[in-house]
Amino acid sequence: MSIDNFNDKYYKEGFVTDLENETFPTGLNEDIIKNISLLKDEPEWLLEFRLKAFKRWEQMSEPDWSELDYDPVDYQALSYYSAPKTRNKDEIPQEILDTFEKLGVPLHERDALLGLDTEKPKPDNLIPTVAVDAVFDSVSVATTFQKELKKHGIIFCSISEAVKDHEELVKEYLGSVIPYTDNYFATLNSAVFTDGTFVYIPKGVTCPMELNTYFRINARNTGQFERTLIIADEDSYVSYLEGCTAPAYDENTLHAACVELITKDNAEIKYSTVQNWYPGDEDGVGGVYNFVTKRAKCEGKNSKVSWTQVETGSAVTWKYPSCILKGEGSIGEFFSVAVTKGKQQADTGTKMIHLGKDTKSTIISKGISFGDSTNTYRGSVKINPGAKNASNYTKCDSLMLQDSRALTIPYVTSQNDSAMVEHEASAGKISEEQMYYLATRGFSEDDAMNLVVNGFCKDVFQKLPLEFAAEANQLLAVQLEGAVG
Amino acid sequence: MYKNLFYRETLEPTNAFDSYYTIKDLYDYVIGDNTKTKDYHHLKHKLNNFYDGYNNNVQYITETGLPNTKSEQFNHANLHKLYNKEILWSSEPNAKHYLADLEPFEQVAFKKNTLLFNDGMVYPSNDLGIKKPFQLQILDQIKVNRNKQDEYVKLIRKTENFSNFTYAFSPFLNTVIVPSGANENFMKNPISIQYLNKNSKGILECNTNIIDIQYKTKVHLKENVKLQSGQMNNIIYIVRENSELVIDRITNDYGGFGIFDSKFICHPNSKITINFKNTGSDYYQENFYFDLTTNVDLTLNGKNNIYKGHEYHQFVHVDSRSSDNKSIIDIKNVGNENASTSFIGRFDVSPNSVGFDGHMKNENLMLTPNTKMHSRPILDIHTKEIECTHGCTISNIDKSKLYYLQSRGLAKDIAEDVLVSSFLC
Amino acid sequence: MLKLKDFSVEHILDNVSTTFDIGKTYVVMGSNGVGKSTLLHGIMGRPDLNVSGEMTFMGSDLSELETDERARLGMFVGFQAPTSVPGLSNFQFMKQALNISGKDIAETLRSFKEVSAKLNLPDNWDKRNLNTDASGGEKKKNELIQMSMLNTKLAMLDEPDSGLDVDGIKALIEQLNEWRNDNNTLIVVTHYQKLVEGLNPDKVLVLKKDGVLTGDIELADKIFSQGFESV
Repeated sequence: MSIDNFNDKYYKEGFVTDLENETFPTGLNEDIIKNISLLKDEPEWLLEFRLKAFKRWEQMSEPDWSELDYDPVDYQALSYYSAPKTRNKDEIPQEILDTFEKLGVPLHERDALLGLDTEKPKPDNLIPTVAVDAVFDSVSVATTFQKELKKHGIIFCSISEAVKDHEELVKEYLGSVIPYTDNYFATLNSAVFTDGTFVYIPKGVTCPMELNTYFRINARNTGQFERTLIIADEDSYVSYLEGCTAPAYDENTLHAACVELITKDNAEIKYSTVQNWYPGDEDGVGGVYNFVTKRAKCEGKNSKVSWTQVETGSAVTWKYPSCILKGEGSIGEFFSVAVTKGKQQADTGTKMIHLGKDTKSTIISKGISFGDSTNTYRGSVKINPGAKNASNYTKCDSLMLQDSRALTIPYVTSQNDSAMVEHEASAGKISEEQMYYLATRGFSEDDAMNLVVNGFCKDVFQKLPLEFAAEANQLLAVQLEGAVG
Repeated sequence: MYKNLFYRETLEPTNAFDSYYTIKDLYDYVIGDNTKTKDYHHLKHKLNNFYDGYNNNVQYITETGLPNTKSEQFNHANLHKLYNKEILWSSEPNAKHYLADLEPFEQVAFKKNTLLFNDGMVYPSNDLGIKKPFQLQILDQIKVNRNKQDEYVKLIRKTENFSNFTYAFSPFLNTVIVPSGANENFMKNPISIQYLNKNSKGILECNTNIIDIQYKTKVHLKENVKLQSGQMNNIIYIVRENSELVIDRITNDYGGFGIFDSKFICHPNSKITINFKNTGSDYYQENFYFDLTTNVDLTLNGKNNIYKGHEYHQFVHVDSRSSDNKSIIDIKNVGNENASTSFIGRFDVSPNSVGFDGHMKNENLMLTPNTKMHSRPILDIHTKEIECTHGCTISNIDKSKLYYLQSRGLAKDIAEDVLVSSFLC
Repeated sequence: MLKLKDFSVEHILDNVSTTFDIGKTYVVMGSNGVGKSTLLHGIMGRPDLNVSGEMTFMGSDLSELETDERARLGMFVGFQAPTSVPGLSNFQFMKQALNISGKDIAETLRSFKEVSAKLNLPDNWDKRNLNTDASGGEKKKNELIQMSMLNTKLAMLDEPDSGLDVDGIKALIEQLNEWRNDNNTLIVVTHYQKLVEGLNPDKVLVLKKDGVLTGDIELADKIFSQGFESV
């Protein structure tokens, strides 16, 4: 099968949008950063934050402890800012609208009212289910339902807007969960981030709709560095979804994002990701490098953060959505399905850090691998001396559909005698017994495999919001084609 | 007859697997600073019991280079503890004199079937020293059987863990060959192996031994390790085709510290069962490395009750090369007050390792608040035709079980002891 | 319905020749390990069994067909130890196997719940994971539900009585009686006298190391009173 056919069949999002962008020259130095800050009209403190991070980054070196094997990134050969030239949130260029429509992301408020599926007729007074912030290359191009949400006191906007309109909030929380010194990629992000989503849910409010950010990389030789900050004040709730795709380029594209979540007393954030970055072709050429730092700080008592992710794309995935369980009784959850095939590599997992009393964490990780891929779960559960009665349960399962590489590396440390930690993992293939049993009930080999794999992922899929669950199932089915044998 | 049936052909030589403590750490502490000095003379003065034939060995250690692996923060803190205790040099002998200071040969004089290893020398009991049918053959510094010994020396591979260091500082390589066929003899009368070191001022004694178990033989070894000061052991067990090896190992601490690296080269159709018990020490690391060829049946059971203030760290590596290997790793650790334990286990399953049946379990019982326990069971699988599980738990005594025993009249502390014993059963 | 000629399974069964007619009920007996399960799974096409000889089902030569193709023809085997598929609920499984959609789902769910209730299974049985965390008896009952709801023409049940209590056996016999008619065939492997009596089979087959004995219910009675050695 030719490369084009392969992509058409397996990665239909691999198209490129023909649009004129305003792009910075390649290279990374203080001037570039100052220009980004100038272009976005940022306050002094933010420029300082960026420059401090940049100085630090210049002295750091890329982490080398993983088992990932990838071509090194030439940081000077990337452009750190690229945005569509004609960009006006009230008059979104048609090409952008078309792009997002092709991807199935509703930008017109009317379409969103009807839900993601625009084929079925629906009544006019239907309550909207999802608000979208669309990020195209380095900028947010559209944010729907802002006014509607404002009525509830909810702030849902791009981070660039938030810096202008809600400066105090951003200043207080930016970098509070992921300090600029945290790791190589987070430091880089702190210096060069261009946009992302900002969400604030006020006290006592349950966000009435799903909030969705959709990231689309389009320009070549640029990196995408978005920064997301979600703050859930006391007694609030929000369900947030993140989707992403990129064109099928031969070069590797770098996506180094930072996501910070903060929950106050009794607040809850549900963060779901369906990651479908371009994975590279069957020979491992091209594909996105997805090096992301995601962390939640459960500050408040009884607060809760759930990370749910379905990772099917990107050439190299390197991320550990984590929870710092500080507030007494806080809960951290991590549910993940990672599928790797071809030459993909994934090193993903979570860190659950138990600081406070009665904190709880649950980790369920399902890895599916075939082709020549490497699928790694790397997780850390840390029970600090003060975490009385903390408890953790972890279940990691690796399903190998073909001879590939499945790695499980759990780090479990406890320093409190009243805590309870339990970790179980297994690795193997779909048993012949299962295949035979399903055959005796009339299922063909392909159908049987799909059934077993879906059952394997069920624990995770049922944590996704309904719309995403359907998309995830479809994505999985596409990924699994050709896996038997 | 001594051809090496075992060699790496399927996998690329890998970098250090996740060794918890690397040679760099001990090297730094011995030298006393962090700069990579390759000054042998400096080293010579620091350590007592320095034999002349050493230069080659010290060269060896510098040639192997300093590995690149990272260790977690608290490792250094622990070794600092040792450094502060100045155990390595100039300290007063430790007050815990549990063993009479007999010369090694006195220790074995009236025993049967016993081998005593001390500071690179081997002392067999009288009944073992003579070469007879179905008797052990011992190649040590006295017997001049260079050819055979050279064959064995070739088995020592460079690694990136402390075995290099131990080999470099072992005065001699001793080899014990257990001949084929005497199954009943060796199973009914276990060979007793003692690892003893002298209770003298700040010494570090090293042993490197090879125990070669010939074809179709069953052997039972009862190992006893007694730590009085610094003891580092690097033992390579070769278990040849269709042989069976059973090891019961107990480590007793008398105020010393040490590292015990056991490497097992398992030929096809061999069976290995190891049961060990340890109470830890000021600092103790017990590592097991298994190279499994094909159709090997391995069981490793550890029951460790780590005493107050003791450290116990363990690294278990199972490298399954070819088909139908079976491994069961079951390690239980109990952490008393101020104890610190860690377990790193790794199953490396090669693409040819079809039918691998592996289960790794590490259960930890933490009894007091000031304890630290770490577990890291790792799976690295390259083929789907396997059945592999691993698990670990860290928790305190089950309160409902405690209540049940108390409701039947047992006092709390007795009930706790009962539950700890039943955990370790 | 099913015709076997010189049917052999390597190492286990040798040259079994017999015919199972439409509309009839058969009981298969034999001491443990003689190959009763192997017979059923050999007919069904389990991949690890090396089968030779002729097998014809309703005129079709089975040797050319894969297991799932045989199932779709209407052959059903009830497992002795049903396999678990975690994450897949009992009803989801049924739905997929029947390949139904739309209005039919509600209808099917109703029938499913009806049959489960008759077998004294808990209310939420449709949501429970397929053969996971269920008792032996519950798994056996699950096999029965599948047999009833899939388009089964030839049912081969491997010890459907094991794990069932007195009420369970009664329900089993009722269910089987309801199911069997002039157009289907039932083959039951069992050691349980009450079940054999309740089924009143047309023919009894006894597998022995050296061959197959056929007879009627009297043959079964003789075995029950005097053991396998007596025949």
